[in-house]
Amino acid sequence: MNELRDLKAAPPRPRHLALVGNPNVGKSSLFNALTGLRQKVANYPGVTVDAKIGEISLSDGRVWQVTDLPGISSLVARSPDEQIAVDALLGRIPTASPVDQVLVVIDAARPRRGFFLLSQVLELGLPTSICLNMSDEASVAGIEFDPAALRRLLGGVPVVATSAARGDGIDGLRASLLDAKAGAGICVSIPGLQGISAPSVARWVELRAAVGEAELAEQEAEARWAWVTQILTGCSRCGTPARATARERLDRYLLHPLLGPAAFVLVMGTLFQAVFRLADAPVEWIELAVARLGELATTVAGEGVFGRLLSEGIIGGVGSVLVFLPQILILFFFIGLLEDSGYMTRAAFLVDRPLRAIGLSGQSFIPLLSSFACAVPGILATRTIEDRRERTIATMVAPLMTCSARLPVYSILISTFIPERTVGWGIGIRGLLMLGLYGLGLLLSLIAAWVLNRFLSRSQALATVLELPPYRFPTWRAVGLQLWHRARQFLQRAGTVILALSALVWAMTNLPVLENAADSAAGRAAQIEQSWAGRLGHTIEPAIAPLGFDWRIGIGLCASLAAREVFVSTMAVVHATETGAEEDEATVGAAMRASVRRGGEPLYDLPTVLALLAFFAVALQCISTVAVVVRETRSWAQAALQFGGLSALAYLLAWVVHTLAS
Amino acid sequence: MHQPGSNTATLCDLRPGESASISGLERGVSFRVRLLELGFVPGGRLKVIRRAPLGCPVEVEISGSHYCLRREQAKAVWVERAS
Repeated sequence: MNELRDLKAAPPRPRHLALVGNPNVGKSSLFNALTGLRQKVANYPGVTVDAKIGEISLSDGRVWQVTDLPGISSLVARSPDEQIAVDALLGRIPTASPVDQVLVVIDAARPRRGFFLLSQVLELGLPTSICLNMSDEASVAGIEFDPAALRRLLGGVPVVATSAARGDGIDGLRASLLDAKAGAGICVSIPGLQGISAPSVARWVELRAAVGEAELAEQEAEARWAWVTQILTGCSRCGTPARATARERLDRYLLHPLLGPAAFVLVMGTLFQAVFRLADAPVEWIELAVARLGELATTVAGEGVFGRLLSEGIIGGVGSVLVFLPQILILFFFIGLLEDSGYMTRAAFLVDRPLRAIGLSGQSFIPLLSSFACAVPGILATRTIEDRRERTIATMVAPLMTCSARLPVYSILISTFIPERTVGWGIGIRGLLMLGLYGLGLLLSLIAAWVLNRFLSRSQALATVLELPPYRFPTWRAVGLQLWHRARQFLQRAGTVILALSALVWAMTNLPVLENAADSAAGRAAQIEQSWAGRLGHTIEPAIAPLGFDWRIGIGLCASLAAREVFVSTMAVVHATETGAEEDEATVGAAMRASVRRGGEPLYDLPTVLALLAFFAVALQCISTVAVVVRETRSWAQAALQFGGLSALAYLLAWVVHTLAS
Repeated sequence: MHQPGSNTATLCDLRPGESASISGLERGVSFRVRLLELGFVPGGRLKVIRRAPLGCPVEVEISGSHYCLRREQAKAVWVERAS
């Protein structure tokens, strides 16, 4: 009986270590070095925590849980990102296990800010150890630390110097975790709180309640900075820098009043060029692999309903989405390089003033740039924006950026229906149209931001202070891991949501099965028209007829409400069913070109194609984006407003385009 | 406390390359807490590095870290020019 109870008892919870530090102190590289590949992005239900969680094995054989919290400058939270870190430290996230121990990561080359945060963390009374990271940069800057002296000054808190990017000092750090100790902090005295002086989380919470949750009294700040000076004088020496820093040499050009903006345009231009050029080859490989797999499925499963569901519906549908994985990854690869090298904040510095004219700021730059790959990570990145109003505007306009899900739709419509012609100087009309669609999205987002900026009530914000970090060589490991997370996220989506939708669309367009439908062209046409999807398309046809769309495009629009890219796979199914894919092996494009309206004229005439492009440029057809907006803003109203507004705008624009082009 | 003198100015008045010591922060501004956390406390030393192409924001160095302050923020930091 006893043994049975022992077996059933929950295993003891692993000790939970949290990494705390300012932004840009190399916390993530340290986390990667400690955990290796045993990590994942956490997502606690109820709260949108985007902290990374990993495991670490210690020298005594035990395994601990490690959380890499977002970078913070103090325990007085200002942005949602910081709130997450503070809440996790104070044990306010019910779904996360409480933090048992803290590792404070300090940039040894710029230590003062880190010690300010340390002064607060020590007051939580948790077992703590300190990591003086970037020790190589510190010695170049002429700063020397005496870890033993620091340990003495802090009452025995272990201190280890590391260089996480180079892997130096990691073993020592691992060992030091085992003798972490609650240190002697300063315990600022606040009138009314005297008498409770032992550091503890409860005391910290009381202290904050006494001065106001998001307040920091001037005397408190001064007391802390005085403490920082006192500690640093006792344990470090500042010499002269060994050589001019990369910052001085590079910023002279990259932030130059004229050369800076020119370099910015060049970098962004190169980025988008690279995304398109480099993606071509892998896209072809994926297309080829999907085609082979489809053939294989037909051979194995036969040409019955199940076999066709597998090859046409599932493999074809998921395959049409997989093809733009290369583009997403290449864009995120470059964004990762720019972020890790420190250029991204330079870009934010340059565009801050122009963006402020429309209620945004340099902080919105990274979220909006990421939205060119996908609005979901873009909207998640708005968490670093401190100003709530700016965050709202950035979230609202992010889906107007031309995300990679629009590309398959654009490219099939453009390559099928727009003639390959040049307008002079070797500029192709197709490329020009594609560029125009990017420009349209950007222009509309700027206008939308300007309008929102006019109508949203002004908050008295301006808390944003951007830091320009030193330039650093990105580590392949960090960029690679980031890409791996992105790829996995994307593949999970393709394997679940897109897979289910593809199967659903196939079923909707092929069921109920008509007798002898596959035998003749007329039978196949009847099949699609009589299917559930066909009936749905007919129902909405009157609403979309002014845009030049018929019931078949209506099917595509309904299906793409969930995800834009599904439009291509849906049209593949719709037109393949119509024309009989087995007979003429028609590509989607040829099948689309062949389809006609009831009167016999082509379905996809120029006004219709242009209207369709305009519609896709604006409409928010992406269930993941809507879901992430609801989760991030905690407001169904805002998500509904965004969806409704963008849909109405898309309809209006498509109508205008169709009318003008007819 | 803080006595305005001939050398008193705001951070906004400093030219690129000029150093100064902080004499105080304007009260009642929403970004005060953030500036205090970053080390903008009386007695702290800072240096203006450059301005962005359109004159704003201003890049300021304070104890080895570089921050971008907007005009409104820079105006709230009272400084004493290094003589």
